Formats: sequence, structure tokens, C-alpha cells
Amino acid sequence: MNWRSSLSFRHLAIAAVVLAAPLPFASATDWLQFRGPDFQGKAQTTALPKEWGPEKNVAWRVELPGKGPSGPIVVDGKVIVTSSGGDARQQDRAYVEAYSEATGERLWRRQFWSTGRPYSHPLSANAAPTPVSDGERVYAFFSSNDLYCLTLDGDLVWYRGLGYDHPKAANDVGMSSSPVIAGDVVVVQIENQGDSFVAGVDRLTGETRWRLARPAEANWGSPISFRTNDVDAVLVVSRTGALAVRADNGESLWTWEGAGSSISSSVVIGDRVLVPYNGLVLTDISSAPPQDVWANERMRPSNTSPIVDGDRIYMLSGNGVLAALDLATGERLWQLRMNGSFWSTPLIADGYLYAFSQAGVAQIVKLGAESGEVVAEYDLGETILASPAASDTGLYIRSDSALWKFATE
Amino acid sequence: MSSASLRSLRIALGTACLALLGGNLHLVAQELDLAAAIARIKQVDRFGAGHAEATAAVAELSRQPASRIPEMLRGFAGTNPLSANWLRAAIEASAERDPSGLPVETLTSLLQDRTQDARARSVAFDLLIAARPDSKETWIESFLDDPCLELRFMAIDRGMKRAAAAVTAQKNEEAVAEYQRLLENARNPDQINAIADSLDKLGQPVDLTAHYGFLTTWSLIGPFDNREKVGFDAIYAPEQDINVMATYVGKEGEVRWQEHTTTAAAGVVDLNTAIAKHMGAVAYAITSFTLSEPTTVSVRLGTPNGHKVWVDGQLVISNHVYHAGNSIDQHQADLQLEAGEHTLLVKICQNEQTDSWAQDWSFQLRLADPTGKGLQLGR
Repeated sequence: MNWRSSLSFRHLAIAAVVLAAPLPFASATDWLQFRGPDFQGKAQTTALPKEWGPEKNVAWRVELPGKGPSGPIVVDGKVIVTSSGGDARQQDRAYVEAYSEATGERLWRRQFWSTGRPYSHPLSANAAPTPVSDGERVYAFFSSNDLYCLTLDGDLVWYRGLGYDHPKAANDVGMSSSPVIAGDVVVVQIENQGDSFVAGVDRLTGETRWRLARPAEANWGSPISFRTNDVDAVLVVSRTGALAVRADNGESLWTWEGAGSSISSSVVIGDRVLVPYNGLVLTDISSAPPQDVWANERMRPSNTSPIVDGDRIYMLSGNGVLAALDLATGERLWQLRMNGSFWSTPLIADGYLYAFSQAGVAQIVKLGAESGEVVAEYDLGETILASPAASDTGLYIRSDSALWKFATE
Repeated sequence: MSSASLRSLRIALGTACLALLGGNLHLVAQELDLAAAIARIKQVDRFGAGHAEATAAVAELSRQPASRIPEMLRGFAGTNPLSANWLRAAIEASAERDPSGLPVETLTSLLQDRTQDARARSVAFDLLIAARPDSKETWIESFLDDPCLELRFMAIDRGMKRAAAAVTAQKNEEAVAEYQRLLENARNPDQINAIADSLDKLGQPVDLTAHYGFLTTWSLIGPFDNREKVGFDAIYAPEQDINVMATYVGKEGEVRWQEHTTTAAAGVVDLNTAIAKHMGAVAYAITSFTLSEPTTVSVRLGTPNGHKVWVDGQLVISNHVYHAGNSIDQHQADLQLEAGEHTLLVKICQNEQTDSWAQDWSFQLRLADPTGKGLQLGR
């Protein structure tokens, strides 16, 4: 299928300079959402370790109360992480916790009962979506569609049981779409065979600002937010196409018909968006109508999402092939076989890529112009589905049983 | 000014304001009308109803001294699942701020009182073992038949470890007695299955189908058309008139009811074998059961297919979902039924997916009490 010919821009409201939406109170060193700033998976630090092992650069490890493919986030010196536990089959006890970035000491823990359907495939868990923060509050979301807003001190600000509101909004295999903040709303993409929708929830009050029906198809991908001509916007991608809407009222900006990924998520790169759509597409959304820069049907993100560093895109396939692509053309430059299978989207910092296999093998790849080289491997011995986070003091990863910090000694 | 500095400034100003208000957080907190604040939390309902009032109330409750936690726990009575979470968050925040003020004796009494709200007792337990970790084992031992299933789950788990240790020590009679005691009280299917497996290995097989209360004898009819998923909303003849002697026009010609008794594990009715393999098809299953007295019956269905369930003609479960999970007790409806005979009609819709993992066309259905204990009924 040809991406360009399949595009159907029904409506374009705004043509302007596009930027990744800045989170309201974000610090440059915080990691506030799934894949970090701009959803690019890149940390602005040179301090991460370049090697690791049992006796090397492990700053701390703490046991967690439950499972979770959800990744940690880092905000104001705290590492926030969600887990689910209790009855192993249902995973109906939800945990939101904060740990000291410096010491690993637990600062607070909140527990809740899931009010939507908490079921999932045994490999996954109710705590699948990565939380998001605006720098002042934490928004913790679960597969059961329970959405909690907490202060950085763990006080509940508001809570929505979106699965209780919409009992048929569920996928018993589990859902994993991570929320994003766009302007004054936190956006949740709840796409499934039942009551399928995307909603903007007021981040201060918990009130539903808007709610849009979506195709009744299972989807595990996450929305992205961006800002264009002083308008905060959100892009959601599903198997049947993509939709960009205004964050303040849900009004459609444009739609694309076609086959988007139902697992991999998009990336904002300045005034362009990299979309897992019938392969991979880089499209310029500053022009009217949006124009494809290139489309590469051969490069299909699978279990993980693409990440970006400078003029390179990196894609890690589910079966462990790391590919480097030229951002200008979408053409593959080199590839590297890594150790294991992957669900965790890797992270890049200072020319190194950090990846964690499902079996828990932590790997560091030195990224070169023409090749990549695995320079360190450390078998953590714990199942990992979550994506890592980073700050200027270290790298964080959560397994099914623990939260780890790696830092240069 | 950086965002971190702004944040620090806000915190400092907030602290200063609190100090100006009296400087004694507890004094301010104790003036709160706790019942009124809890009442505002209880007004939270679906679609954000009551949020503005609850947001203010939860902030106030979160700053209460821990000595007032028992009052908040008693406030769980009458909460819905949403407001219960609001209240729980306030209680945990209060306990975390004021750990030395936790009223251990009062919490102990509340936990021991099985007439208290199950969620309140579960929270009380979490608070108590956080304050006194060494009391955990003693508490768990007392939960074997607890009405709070969260607490009971832990006691069953502990008992299973004890029974397994008896097996290791070759004390098989002791292990069998322990497993049988656990089986009577367990409600979690994973625990029940593991206990039954252990008993089987000890030469004491368990009829799990009967234990769970699965219905095994059905009248089946099909296929009706579900191409392009049209059958889920279609009202075919069995939905209009239950007559097991009748014949109807189905998807591929005349269809008639046929008796079927499943012997498969966990009462699974495999429609691919009981009727025939069809894609884009609908099948109906009907059975009846008799209650000797008015009973709260939990109808529990597991299926990978689109489905509807009617009890005495009333639609009680309905989900148009295909191949997105399949497990015991996946869908549940608790019904208050009168004594006498009742009919159960089940509609199972198969779609047209060609994936190898999407060929299953089956269901399992059981009747239980609201805790999940299988009902043993005449049929």
C-alpha cells in the first residue's frame, strides 16, 4: 500500500510551526512520560554508565509490590512507578509509589482497588501504562482504566474510574496505552472491541472535557501530544487510521485513513511526526495539508516504539534486531542482532543505547555511524517488559519484581 | 526562575500559610467535621459526579491525625467502588504522615469485627502490619474463612505452603487434611486448582466440575448466521420462543436442538465438536436449574466469543467481544432469584478470524454464591 495515495486529509484546521508540547512544570532533567521528552526516548545527559554488572554501577535495587510493564518516570527527585498485584489472576490491587531518586528509599505508597476490568495476559499486568506527570502532579493510569491524579507527595487530587463509568471499555488481554498531557488535559486512549474511545480529562479537576468514539478494535499504542500555532494537540493512531485533535475541546484537526500500528507509538521531531503507519512514515505537519517526507513500508515497528537521536531513528524489533535509519530518508543504515526478545522500548543517551530484553538482559550499545556494538551485558534475571527512564543522575528500569537504578560510580 | 525553584517556593509559601493558620496541624485537623467530609466523598459517582466537593474533602481528610483513621474506616459503609478509593487514599496519606499516632488497639478491634465493611478491614490490616510487621503471621492464620476475600486469599496461600511442607516431610495424612480444609474455604480459582492438583497427587482426586458448580448438561442449537458479526444483534428464533422440540432455519439449513453433556474439564462446552466447526456463526445453549429457597446466584461465564446470557428471559450478561481473553469467571452477574425452576439461555457468537488462536468456539458457565463458592443444585 502506498502511504501517500492512501492519505485522506479530510480537514486541516491549522498550518503552522509544530513543536512537541512542553509539559507545564517540567525540569530539563525530569523524565515525565513514556519515552521521555518529545517521546523520542532520548535523555539529555552524559552521566549514564557505559558499563554495568553485579558489582558495577548498580546504585540501588528495591523490591516492588507487584508486576508492571509500566515504566518509571522521574520528577523532582522522585522515581514514580505503578504496579499491580493482589490476586495473581485479576491483578486488581493497584499501587502508585514514589522512591527517592538518590537513595531508593520509598517515600510514599498509595493503593487502590481497580474498578474496571483488571484482567490481562499472564505476561502483562494491570499496571501496563506508564504514568505521566506535569511536573506538579502524577497521573497514574491502569489497564482497568482507573486514572489517579496525585500530588508529588502522594495526596490524591482526584480519581476517575473510567472503566466503572464505561464497563464495556475493556480488553481482557490487557491494555497498555500510556496517557499524555496536552495543555490542560490528560489524554487517555482506550481502544478496544467494546466501548472504544479517546478522552481528554481536565488535569486539574478530573472532569471529562471531551470524549470521542474510536474504532472498536484492540489497540495498545499510546497517543502523543504536540503544540502547533499556540494550540495543544493530540495524535492517536489505530489500525484503521490516525486522528489529530485539539486538546482543549477534542475538535478534529485532521484524519488519515489506513493501517496504523496497534502497538508501536509515534514520535515528535520538531515540526514532523514519525508515525508507525503501514511501516514507518515521517510526515510534516507544519504544512497545509500535511505532507509525507518519506514512507518506508519495509521498516515495521513491532513490539517497541521507534526512538530518535539527532539524524538517526532506531528501531528494535520484538525478536531483537536493532536497526538504525537515516531520519532524512527513512533508509536503513545498519542493523545489529541483540540478545533476546523485546517489549521494552530502549533509551538513548550520549551516543549509547540502553535496552532490556524480556528475559532481563540489560544491554548497552555504542552507536556508530556505520554500525553498533554491544559493549556491556548484564543479566538481571528478572522479566522486563517496561521501558527505562533516565535523569541526570542515573537510569531506571523496573522488572516484574523490582525497581533498579544504574549510575556511574 | 526554574520550575524546580518555583515548586520549592510554592511549597514554602504553603507551609508558611499553614503556620499562620495556627501552626498546629493537628489542632486545625481536629476541628474538621469528619462525618461531613466523608459524606462529601460518598457523593462521588460515575462520570465525575461530586468531584468538586470530594476534591476538597479528600485534601482535608488526608491531613487528619492518624487517631481519626478508625472513624474514616467506618465511613467505608455505603461507599461505592469509586468513593472507596477516594477514602482509602486519604486514610493512607494520614497514616503515612502520622505513623506514631496510629491507634493500634482500635484498628485491631475493627479488623477483628467481621461485621465491618470488608474493604475497611482490608485497609486496617495493611495499616496494622505496616506498624507491627511481626503480627502479620498471626493475623493471616485467622483469615481462613474470612468474609473479606482479600484477607482469605492470604490465609489460603499460607495454608498451601504449610500443606506443601507436610508433603515434603512425608506427612501425607496431615497434608490431605489441610488441603481439604483449604479447598472448602478457597474462592480464588488459581488456588482451588492448585489445591485440587495437590490432592490428586496425594491420591485424593477432586471433582472440580462439581466443586465449581459448572453446568454440564445443555440443549444446543446452531449454527445461525454471524458473518460480518451480524448475529450478535440479530434476534433468532431461540431468543423469541424456547421450544426444544422446534426446528428452525439456520445459517446452512434446518437446525434443531440437541442434547449435550460435556465431560471436559471445567465444564467447557466445545461448540466446534458439539455442533460442528463453523466461522461466522451463532449457537444457543439452554438449560435449567432449581433453587430450593430464595438465593443470591452468581452466574459466571467464561468464553473467548461474543456472548449473551439470559436468566428467565432477562438479559444479564452481554459482550460483543471476540478472542480477547478467556478465563473462568470472566463475566459475572449476581441475581436474587426465587425458589423454583429457572432457565438459562446462552448465545455464543463466533467471528470469521482466520488466525490459529481465533478458532475456539466454546463456553463454560457455573453458578456460585457471591463469594464464588459453587452451588450444588438440582437440575
